[in-house]
Amino acid sequence: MSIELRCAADAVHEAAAIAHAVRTRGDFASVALIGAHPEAVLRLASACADAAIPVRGGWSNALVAFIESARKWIARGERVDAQRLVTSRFFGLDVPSGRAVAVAIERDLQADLSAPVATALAQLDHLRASAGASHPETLKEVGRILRFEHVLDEHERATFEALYLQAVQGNDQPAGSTSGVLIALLGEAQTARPRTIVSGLCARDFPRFLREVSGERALLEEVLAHAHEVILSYPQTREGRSTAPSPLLEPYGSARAWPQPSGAAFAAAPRGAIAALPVGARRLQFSASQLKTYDECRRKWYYRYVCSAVEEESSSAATYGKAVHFALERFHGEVRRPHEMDEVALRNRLEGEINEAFKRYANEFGSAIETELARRRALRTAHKYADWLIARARRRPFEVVACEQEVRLELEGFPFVGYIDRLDRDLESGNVTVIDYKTGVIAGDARSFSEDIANGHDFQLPFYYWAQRAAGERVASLALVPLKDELSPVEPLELEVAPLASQGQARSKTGVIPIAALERARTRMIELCKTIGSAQSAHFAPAQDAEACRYCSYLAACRERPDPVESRWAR
Amino acid sequence: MGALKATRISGRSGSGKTHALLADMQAAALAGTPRGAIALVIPIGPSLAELRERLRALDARADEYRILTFGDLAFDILAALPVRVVDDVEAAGIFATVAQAALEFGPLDASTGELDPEVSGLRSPERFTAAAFALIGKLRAACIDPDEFERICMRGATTFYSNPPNFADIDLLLATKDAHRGSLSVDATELERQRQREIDLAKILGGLYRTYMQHFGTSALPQRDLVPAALAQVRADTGLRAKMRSAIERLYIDDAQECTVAEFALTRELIAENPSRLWFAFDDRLTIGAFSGARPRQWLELDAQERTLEDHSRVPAEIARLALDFATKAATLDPGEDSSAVTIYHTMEKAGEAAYIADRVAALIAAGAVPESIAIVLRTLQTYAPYERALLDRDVPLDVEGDVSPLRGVAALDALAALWVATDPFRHEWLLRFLQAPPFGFSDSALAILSSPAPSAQASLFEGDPAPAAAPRIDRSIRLGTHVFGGDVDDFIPPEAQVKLEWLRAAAREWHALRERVSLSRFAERVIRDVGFPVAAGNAARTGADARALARLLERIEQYEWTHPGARLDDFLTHAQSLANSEHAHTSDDRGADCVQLLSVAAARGRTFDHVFIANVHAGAFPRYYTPDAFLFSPSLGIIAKDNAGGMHAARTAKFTYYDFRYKPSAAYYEHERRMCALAMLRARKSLTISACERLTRGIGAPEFLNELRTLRPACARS
Repeated sequence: MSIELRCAADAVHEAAAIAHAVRTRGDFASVALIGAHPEAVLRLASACADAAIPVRGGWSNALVAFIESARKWIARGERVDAQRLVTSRFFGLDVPSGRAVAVAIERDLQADLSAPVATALAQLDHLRASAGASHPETLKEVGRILRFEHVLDEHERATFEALYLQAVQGNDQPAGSTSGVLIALLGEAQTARPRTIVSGLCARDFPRFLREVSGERALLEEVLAHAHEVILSYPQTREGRSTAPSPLLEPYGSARAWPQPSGAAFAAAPRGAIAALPVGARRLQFSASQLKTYDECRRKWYYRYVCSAVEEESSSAATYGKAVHFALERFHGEVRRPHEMDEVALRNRLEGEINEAFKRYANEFGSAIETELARRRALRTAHKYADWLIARARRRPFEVVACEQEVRLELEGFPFVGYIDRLDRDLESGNVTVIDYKTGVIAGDARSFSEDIANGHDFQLPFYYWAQRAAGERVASLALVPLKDELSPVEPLELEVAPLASQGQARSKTGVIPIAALERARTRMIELCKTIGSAQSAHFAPAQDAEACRYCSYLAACRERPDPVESRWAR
Repeated sequence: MGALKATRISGRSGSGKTHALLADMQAAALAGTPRGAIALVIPIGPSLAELRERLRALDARADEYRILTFGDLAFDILAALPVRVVDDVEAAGIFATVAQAALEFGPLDASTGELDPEVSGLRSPERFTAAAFALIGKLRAACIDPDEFERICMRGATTFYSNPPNFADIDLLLATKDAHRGSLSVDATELERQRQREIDLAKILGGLYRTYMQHFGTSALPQRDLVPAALAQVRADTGLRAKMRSAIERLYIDDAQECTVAEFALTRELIAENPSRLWFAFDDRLTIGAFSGARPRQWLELDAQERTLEDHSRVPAEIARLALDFATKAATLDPGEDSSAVTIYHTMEKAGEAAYIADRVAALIAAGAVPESIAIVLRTLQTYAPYERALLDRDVPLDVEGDVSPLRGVAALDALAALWVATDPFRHEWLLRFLQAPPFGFSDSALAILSSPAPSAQASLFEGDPAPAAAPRIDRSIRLGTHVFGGDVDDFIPPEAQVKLEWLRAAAREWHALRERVSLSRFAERVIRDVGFPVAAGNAARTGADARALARLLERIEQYEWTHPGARLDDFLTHAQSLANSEHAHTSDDRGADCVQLLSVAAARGRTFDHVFIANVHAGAFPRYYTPDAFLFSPSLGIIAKDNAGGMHAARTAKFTYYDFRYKPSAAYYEHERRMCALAMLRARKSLTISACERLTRGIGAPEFLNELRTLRPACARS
């Protein structure tokens, strides 16, 4: 008899390696595969199925495996649902009968250990009855591993009873599955195959039974004496934790590692680094939002503007914004000089455009109710917007000279493109005001807005400013018009463009943006364009602030994202 | 008559109530009651295994007793019925779908004009249905059916609006924030409008509740509804009732104060006319389930003889005193002499706090502490990542249990990416992830080439040659997948990347052939194994954590396969995404030996540890700021809408502002959080460390527990 000792990195690889070894040999009938505990049995069964190795199994192994698993789950306090799963998995029964058996066995385990053999036999009878005429076929499909082939026909045999007793009854502790399997093996020793592989022999399965090792060793030796070739195998880790080989293996010397399965069992994925080369933008055309994205999170910029492989889903908030922008574009396409228009007509016109716009975008909302509620919200907001528009026109008449105007600009050779929501020309001075509608959250006051621009976090209005300057316009002010809140009056954040800075008042909606700040923003834009255009980066790091991830479409793709933002609110 | 009374065992946490129950169970068994007829039932389940171990210390035949949760008990009662149980994550998803359909096309169809959809919260339908799902769960646990719910709502509306309170009351005005004072400026017309909106809201919620009952009554039963369903079954089926009563001769309830109305009612059904068969442990001072339906008062109304335990044997006196002072906001303090058992630590950075805890834990283990005797407790595991990372960096193995998705973390997400790739190569967000993850490790430049349009073929060098065919333009929605699996741009990527892609294509062919032949879980296991997961990750603890993450994923797939016969892998993967985002997700690692426990407070209940670290104890984290859903429900006032939907002047309804003043739900919430914190403190057998990071507030928006604790025990404060 030759005995070989093998080890594998973990239990999965061990089973795969064994299956591969068996497959290489080919004469399956001469091989006995023995799992030292139920999980090892299952691993072997799975690996054999993957490698298309026919296996035969029997009731008792499945029963042992089930009962052991059920015990574990019951001890953990898990739901019986999980046990139903096991029942199905091991017995291949349909839901109701499998569940009934699971519940019955659970009760046996908890309530009545005094007559386990009788109960087991009754359960077997019940299983047979449950499965009806197709029972053997069901078993065959589900049967996992060979051993105890004759139990079904001769279930009164002592070997089966011994197995069940060991697995279920025990003394004051649950009996070790290893004992059960080995004792059963002893009963089957006469039919052991010329080549036998025992897997899963790690020490972790033995802690409670160390005192019995000598007895088990004798059993194992007796079993193995019937095989010509024996391989004893153990995994070096289980669930990521190191495991030592079983004390049973001490006489057999040191273990050799199983070879990595290959061929039919499929090779492991190749490893090794891939050369990292600098990456640049796919198209050298820039926008303010692109630079803002780059500034906030370079990884997001990389996914969006370089890979461009993911369709970003539109949200209801985004659709609301699109509809409101569309309505105002149409409205001001007609209403260019609000001060010359009848107030009622102006309001009716605006209401009509809102209704039309929400009809147009209805399919982009999640539901008809969402569309309707968004429409009502927009109508209320439009009412406030009209209040503001009329008051502003009365105070200082103006003309809307452009809506959704495409603007192009080259900054030191870097081409930019963008769209201005609205451009108003003051009828007295001829100066223009750049207006941007905002249906989302904006800065709380003009000073914060001005600081965002000065600190290089907001490029949109500076870009519009420089584009209008390049077109020969005198830009008097930049304004954000908030259209989010239907209850509050519309009060734009408006920054007057001035040669010198002045300290604005906190919470004021109006303030000053010095030309120097707009120049700083332009310089920052050019710097970012140079960085992007020069393709200097081989890797684009994600933002450190998880706020940037909140609505990011690339959450699944991003492996380096920061820890999610803590929700500070409880409901 | 005392013989016919139940027995209430009361005492403070740590006084030995559970031990008294277990000892009584053992005594009953020795006196001849069959162990299988003795049941110990608990309303919440994390301590089942520990309970059985404790019983084993008293009785070697501990396995013969029935120790189970109310959910398990209910499942047994329903065992004979053809009901499929679905977990709460899936139930919430199903409900969102059926509710949406009901709102759009069903009896709640807004286009019929019977109901105005402009009600509080419905502007965000997803959040509205989530809030409705939560409310229905509480109504079920409180045994309030849809008809009763609507009756209460109508009565509440009539009572409130027919005789509204004085909205100009000076105390009310002073207690209301400036931003919400406008909500109290209402005339009769506006109040009538708000009443109409409230009635519509009640009808919509009542309709959704009926939809819920119709749907889940026929096809599937949410796990959270097991007890109400079992109660209904026991009440309806006299044979079943008699059988259950005879099967349980002695019934023990631990943590009875956490029981819902339905759990209490089920208990009463089981003990029937002989309450002397019931023993329950009770301490309403540390009830933590009040916001999820626990009703301690009902147990006090039960006619029971009292056994009061005084001994604080389990918890060191210093810790017990601190917990008591904190829970009761004691003004006069006696910190005692010994302050070695308690540390109150503060730092400004989260990483610093996590490092402090991890260093302390590592030092304890190095000094001989058993890892499983150490617990890090957080209010919610949504914030667990920095602590887990710091511990794993120090090679400290961890088990995790609490309110976080089991499919979290880089390893699980990488495995999900591999499964998506094996299922649908055009899910580019997952393909990108897969290609970046080990063992592929594609660089940004390689991914950029794979994502870009294929470069055009070289122009002809000689006149007269046929022009080379232009590379076909591939839509970006399929470009990356096409290039990865079609090889169109292989010539432009590094050779080592080509080798990997060739491997992937071969693997994909294998997977394609295998997919139809094996079960879903087997297929997933094979893909994960082929790809080479888990990848060795620096140290044993980290590798172990990754391996457990993969084991959890496979276990989830097995469960899904069982409950969804015929499901495909992409069905599961879609479900996995819901699970990752669900507030109902729960993780319970195998409580292995040699692992430090990282727990939510709820999961720590009923367990004790030598060394307890309660982390992230600052306003906004523990406690979080209270913000109610779009509506609240009160048995006396009915439904209370928060948002003044359709109103032109105020964001909140007058009724909500009044309710907030009169019943102070936020104060109740913060007291509940205080009890949870005290309960977490009482898990400690030897040492207790409470820590926080970030700048601490003055405790105006929410109490700042760490500041309070530092004030109570200045000698324990560290920074």
